[in-house]
Amino acid sequence: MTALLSVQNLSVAFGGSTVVSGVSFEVQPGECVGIVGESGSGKSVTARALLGLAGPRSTVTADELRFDDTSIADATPRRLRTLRGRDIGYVSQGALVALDPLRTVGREIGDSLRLHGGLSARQRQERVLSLLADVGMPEPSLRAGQRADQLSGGLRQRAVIASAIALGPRLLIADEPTTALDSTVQAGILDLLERLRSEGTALILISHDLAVVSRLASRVLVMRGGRIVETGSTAEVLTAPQHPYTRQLIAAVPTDRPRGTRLGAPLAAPVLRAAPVLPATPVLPTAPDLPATPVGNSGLAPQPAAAPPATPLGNSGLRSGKGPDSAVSTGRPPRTPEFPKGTAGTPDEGLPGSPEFPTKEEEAVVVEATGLVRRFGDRLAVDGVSFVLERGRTLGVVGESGSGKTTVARLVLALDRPDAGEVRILGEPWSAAPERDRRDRRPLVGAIYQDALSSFDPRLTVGAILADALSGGRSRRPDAAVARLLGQVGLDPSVAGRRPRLLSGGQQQRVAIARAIAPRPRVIVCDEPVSSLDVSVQAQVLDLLDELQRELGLSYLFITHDLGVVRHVSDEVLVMREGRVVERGATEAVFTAPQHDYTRRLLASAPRIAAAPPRA
Amino acid sequence: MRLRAAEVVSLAVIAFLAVAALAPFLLAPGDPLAIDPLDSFQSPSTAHVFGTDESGRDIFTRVVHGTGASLTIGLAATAIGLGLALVFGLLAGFGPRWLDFGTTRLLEVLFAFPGLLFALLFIVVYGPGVVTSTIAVGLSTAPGYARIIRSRVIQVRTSPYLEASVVLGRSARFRIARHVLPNVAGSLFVLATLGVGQSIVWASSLSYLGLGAVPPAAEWGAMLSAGRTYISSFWWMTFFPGLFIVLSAAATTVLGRSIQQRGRES
Repeated sequence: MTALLSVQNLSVAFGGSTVVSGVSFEVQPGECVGIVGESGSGKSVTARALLGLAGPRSTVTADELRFDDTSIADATPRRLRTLRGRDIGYVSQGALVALDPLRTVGREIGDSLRLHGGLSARQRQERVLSLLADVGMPEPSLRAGQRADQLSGGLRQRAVIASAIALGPRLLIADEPTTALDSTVQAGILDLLERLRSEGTALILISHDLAVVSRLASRVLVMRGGRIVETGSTAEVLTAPQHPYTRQLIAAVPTDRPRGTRLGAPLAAPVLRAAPVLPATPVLPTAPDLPATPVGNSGLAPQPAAAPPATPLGNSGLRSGKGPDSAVSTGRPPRTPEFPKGTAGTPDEGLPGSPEFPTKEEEAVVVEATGLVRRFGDRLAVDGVSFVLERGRTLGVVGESGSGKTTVARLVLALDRPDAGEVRILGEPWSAAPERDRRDRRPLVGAIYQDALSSFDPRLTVGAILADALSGGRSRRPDAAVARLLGQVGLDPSVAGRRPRLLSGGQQQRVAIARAIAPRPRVIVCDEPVSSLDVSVQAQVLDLLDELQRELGLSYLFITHDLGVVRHVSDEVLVMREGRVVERGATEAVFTAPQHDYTRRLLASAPRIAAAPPRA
Repeated sequence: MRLRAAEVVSLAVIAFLAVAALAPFLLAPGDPLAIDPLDSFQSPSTAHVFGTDESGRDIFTRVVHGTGASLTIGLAATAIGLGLALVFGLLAGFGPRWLDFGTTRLLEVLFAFPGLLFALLFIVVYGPGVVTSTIAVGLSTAPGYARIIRSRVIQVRTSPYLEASVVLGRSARFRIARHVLPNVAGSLFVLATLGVGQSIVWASSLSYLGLGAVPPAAEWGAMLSAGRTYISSFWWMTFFPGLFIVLSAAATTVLGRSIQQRGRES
């Protein structure tokens, strides 16, 4: 059988810089080939070159670039257009914005039929509806009349796929088709692609997420710096990766990696300074009067401040009712308040951000939320959420978009007021306190956002941002403390003179972390802090957060839709749906024995690296 | 950073105008008001580069000496306009919702009037003169600026970095002074450079109508007005003042646009 698509020695250059070089591969009819790599690895450019869409300023050269019996490199623009419309479907990156906001979905899909199909208007309409039904769009006739902004992310993606397959192409190129989608939605899209493939459409699936690719692809190309560094059957590549970069990519996937293990190999984190290997139990400097008994249980949260903790109630973790008595608790002793004998009380001079614990008895409960309710119009965004977060621990909050997890974050940050219930920080009123009283204590609660860049004042350099955070707004002149802070998050001191937008995504997030730890907070609210980062960079940032938690005794409220990440970072987890907590408990317990249907569904949909090759 | 040709020319024009405004005697040592009836209506020559007017006054000297008046009116009007706009914009952007609503509706009412008509109304009430015409131009340009500043203030106020500043525990005063104003200032500067040209044209128009500077004062608009009677026979009397109005307006506008563009690119 001859290959459907054959690429030999493809190179793409923009001006003087070559972004793709020497790429060769073939796609057989009905086969799924995955292309994996980080942003900038050239995977999207490769895909666009196959469609003749590399752009006017690009130079595309190849020994062979053939689809079926057409040479793409030599094809006229007119031939390319038919090729793109009829023979090769393309689902571009950022499909969420790929639909014209002023046109209905039905027209968008109908267009390719009109241009290439030669059907009557009536036949087109029927075809559109059957396509929408095909891609699993509920109520196709209603949806066909709607515009993009009336559809959710998953439905938009289905609409884009419907228009890509409208003419029954023999090859479908999907560039990051599930990025930015919730995991259950993502699973639906992947099922759809798998169904198309099994019906005979060849598929090129491009993603930075090895787990996504491994679900569908029978062969994988690993790209880096514009070259293919490894290729082979999915099973071979995953079980016996040859290239160190592939191994690094596989290791960086956080799914199923237990709490506390490093994700990034040393190779993967060249910017990290050589941190001493920290013991699993951190050394908390100046708090010798802390109780050495485990304080893992907090089921009796609203007890008076600093009361001795009750004995662990191992089974209370899976309760999901409302009210403070359903607070998260686990039978597992916490990792933090244990002090190796003889070393307790030794100040750690090298760390500018070492917490200064007050001399009075330290509160073990850092954040306590009781019966939080937040209403937006008729909708209950948050409905009776309670939890307790202890010092040095991480509470993961998982849920899909619209589940209310971000609203919870805003309530804890006191950027929004609950309609009922309250948040207390270190036992003191927080959400109920007036802003004037709260302002002095705001440094206790830090925040890291998904989009680090937009959280920086665009006029300021990294140094000014950090100096401002360190000095409480009194100074913007970078000094030695700023350099130390940069070192602490694994950045070179020279970064201080640069503007955040000139840094990479991972570096920006490190700066955001540095700013968050500068005022010596007790808790950091992390809202999807790694969702927009490549897997290997994500691993480095997660490792950094983990390291800082051990060094500084921080607590994290970690909000994410990514189950792999949440399993890796959190001690306890809340699963949220439509504003309610549907399940809570120790992370491992929830992941190994989910009690609620929704949690089970969520877990089943999480992409993980398939050990077995997909059904061919 | 490389300068484009248009930018170099604009900078040269502005430098020339700045010298003319600050030290006109360096460029034109004569007296702009000195009359010489025997020498009237001379066409441009080596003795009188731009020719002379009906009283034999040297037009080049008058144009150079008029720069100060014209530019001052343009700059002051822009400053008044932007100052008012900044107050409106901050009130609307930061104040309670009803205040924003009220300010926005008021601005929309003002928008209903053509700008120059509004200036004329003001002069009708307060009488003609340099000061009133300057204020009039400032007032009539304010609504346009105010709307831009309001949207910019709201954009900065609702930005994630301002929220990050709240999380760090900064007061509202700190946030306005250290984040909002500096970030609005950039667009303000661009608006100002773009606005000066427009204000000069408007102020000259008012003088031309006899509502601003009055002859024999050397002001471009007033000179245009005086030359209008002789426009068919003695073209230089209107051409050169007009040329300077066009040059100054064009140069500041080109400069404003390129600052705006560079701001976007960088």
